[in-house]
Amino acid sequence: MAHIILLSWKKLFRDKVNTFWILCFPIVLGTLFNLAFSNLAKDEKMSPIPVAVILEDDEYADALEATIDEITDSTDPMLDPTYCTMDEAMELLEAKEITGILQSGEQVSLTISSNMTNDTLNQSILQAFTNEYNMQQDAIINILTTHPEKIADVLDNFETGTDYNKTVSLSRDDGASPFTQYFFNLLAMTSLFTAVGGIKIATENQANLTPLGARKCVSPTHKLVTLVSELIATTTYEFLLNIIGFCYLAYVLKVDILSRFPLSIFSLFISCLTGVSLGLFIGSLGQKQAEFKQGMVFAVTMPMCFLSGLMIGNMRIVIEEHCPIINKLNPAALISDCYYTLATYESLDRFKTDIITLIVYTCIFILFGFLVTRRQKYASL
Amino acid sequence: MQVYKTFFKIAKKYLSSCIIYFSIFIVLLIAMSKLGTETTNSRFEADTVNFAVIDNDNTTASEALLDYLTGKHELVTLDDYSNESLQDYMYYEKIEYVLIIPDGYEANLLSGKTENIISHSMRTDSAKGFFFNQDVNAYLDCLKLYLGADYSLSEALDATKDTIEATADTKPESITFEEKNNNIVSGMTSYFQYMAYVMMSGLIIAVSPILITFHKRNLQERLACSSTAVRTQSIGIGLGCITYCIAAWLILMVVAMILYRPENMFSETGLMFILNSFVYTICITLITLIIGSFNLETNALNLISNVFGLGTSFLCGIFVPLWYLSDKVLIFSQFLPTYWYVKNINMISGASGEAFSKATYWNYIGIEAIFIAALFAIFLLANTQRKKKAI
Repeated sequence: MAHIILLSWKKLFRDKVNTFWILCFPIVLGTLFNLAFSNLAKDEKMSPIPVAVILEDDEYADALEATIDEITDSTDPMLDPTYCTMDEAMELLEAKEITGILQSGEQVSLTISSNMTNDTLNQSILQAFTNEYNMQQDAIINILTTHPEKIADVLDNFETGTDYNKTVSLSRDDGASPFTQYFFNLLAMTSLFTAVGGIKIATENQANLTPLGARKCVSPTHKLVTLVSELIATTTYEFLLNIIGFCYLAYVLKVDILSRFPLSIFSLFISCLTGVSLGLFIGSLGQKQAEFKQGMVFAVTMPMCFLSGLMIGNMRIVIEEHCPIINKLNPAALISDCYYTLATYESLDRFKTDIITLIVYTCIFILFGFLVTRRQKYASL
Repeated sequence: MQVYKTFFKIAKKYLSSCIIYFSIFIVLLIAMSKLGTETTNSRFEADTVNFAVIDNDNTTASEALLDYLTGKHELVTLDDYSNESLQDYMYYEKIEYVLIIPDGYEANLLSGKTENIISHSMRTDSAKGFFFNQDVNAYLDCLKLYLGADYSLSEALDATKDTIEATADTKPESITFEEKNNNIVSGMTSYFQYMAYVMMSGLIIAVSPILITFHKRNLQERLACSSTAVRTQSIGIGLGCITYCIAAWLILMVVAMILYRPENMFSETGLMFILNSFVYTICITLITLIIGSFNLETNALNLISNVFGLGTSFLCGIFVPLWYLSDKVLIFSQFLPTYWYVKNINMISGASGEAFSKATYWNYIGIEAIFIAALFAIFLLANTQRKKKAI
């Protein structure tokens, strides 16, 4: 057995092109993901929101102007105002040069354009500003009416921007970025792509598919010993390549996947084992050549990864709403969930369920692969 | 012509796997175009938030705060308020925000100790929670103003409630300006956007095995000593590949017509989308021809198709909108044809805020054409090098 494992390792190592690409795959994609999310993940200083301000000829106009000037004069201004007439403001809004129009009055009104679908964030910020301004204006007017003697004290003591609401984290990891889940899915995809190694094991043990398979079939070594040895060799080899990718994501790109390191590595191992055994399963099906079956690995794993949220982040949530069983059965979703639960939960219950499901898959795949490839007889080859 | 015909003879051998790839990619494309856009845009809007409350104070003041928040947002009552359950509810977006009102909230309010008077936990991949915080702040600012003017607690709570009612009507007025290109059927933009990913991954994975067959060492050597000129061979393979890719593009156009009806597809906007995708298809065909020039194994090819497909999709605005990418990333993305393809789609649909202009449309098409010329030059170079090596 040890001899077969050693020879398999040698064979895998000599396949330099494949080794290179398996190694490069998570590194290149991880780097590209990191570049794409770099802007979304960090709290970037927001640029001032361009806004048109229309001051009506009344007492409220001065208050609005004073507030906006105060905001504009601050070191990190939230607004970039243009004082103009309604007609000019509408032209600016139509030309998409401003996000909204603020008009003074007893209540400050906000006008936005529904054509600016990419500016919803700034529109929402303006809406929040208007709401807060109107509430404070109303409160101050009320105090002026009922307790005019107190208004000077109130305004002196009142400071906006008090931090009333502290953020607390319910998860283990306080600083987890919401985009980490894309990297969890990337790890799931690279682990499942190890199935290509499993395809090779299956086809190289079937005499009707490869000359090597034919030679192996006439050798006296027990089929189970050959299969298990090659499975061990391929899994460990692919696992080592995946560890390099994992470490690159964790240490070079600083992706938040290092919580509970031993368990994360264990998840990586189990997912590689599931991947290789999935390949063994696909490789054992039908009489098609290895190239076709390798293609099938991608045809099977890509939809799995799509469903677990590799392309559209909240895919899992959509699935959970409509057909939650898919999340419990999809190997890609289970693998990414392992990393997610390790990063988030104190308890390991959900993690255990995920790992057990993956192990059950592995056992079924290996058993099926073994049953199909053993004791085959050929009339001619 | 002989090489051209041979290309399709080999293609026939790979037909079954191609049909499987295309069926899967078309299903993915339809699913992505249905789900994609709405989820990305809704993440940055202020909207009603589903929130849960842990009220450890249970006083008039805490109830008043809850009344105010319930009026604007959706309070969700849960079976279990343990940390893990809350995390689960939050993960699956049953709730997006958890407000924790500690014991002593009312007392702290009266004594003026308002710093960190309450706490919260929220989903950080959406802006909804931040706007919920704004609402909480607006309420507490207002309450603080009244308390500062020596109102009693009940008076201040009532006055705040009145203020909320008085200002409740100030919802923003939304104006829709008439635009030249507002006859776009919902989903059509997403379809063409996600089509770039499908074409990139699908064509590389489906066409490259055919090309690689031509470059297998034995066959390459036999071809090199045949009477057919090297140029004729390259033209035959190139034309075969282009025909094949255009056929794939036509299938996707037929699917689009079924989904979005022919009259929309043949409208001015629809035709602009179609031309843009056609030029982009030629770009990808050339990329496929270049990748196919290297004698790679199926596995390596599959990985490369994923790196190209997913990588460009994340960097060029397919999975993450262009306006959310950093300037540095955008500088890099400009060297990829997908960027200009997506930029054109965004401009036609008005999604990026860039005003539509026909001149700009043709500029972007022109840039894609420049990529075609550059890729064609690389293909010729790679082909010449390979032939030399074979001889």
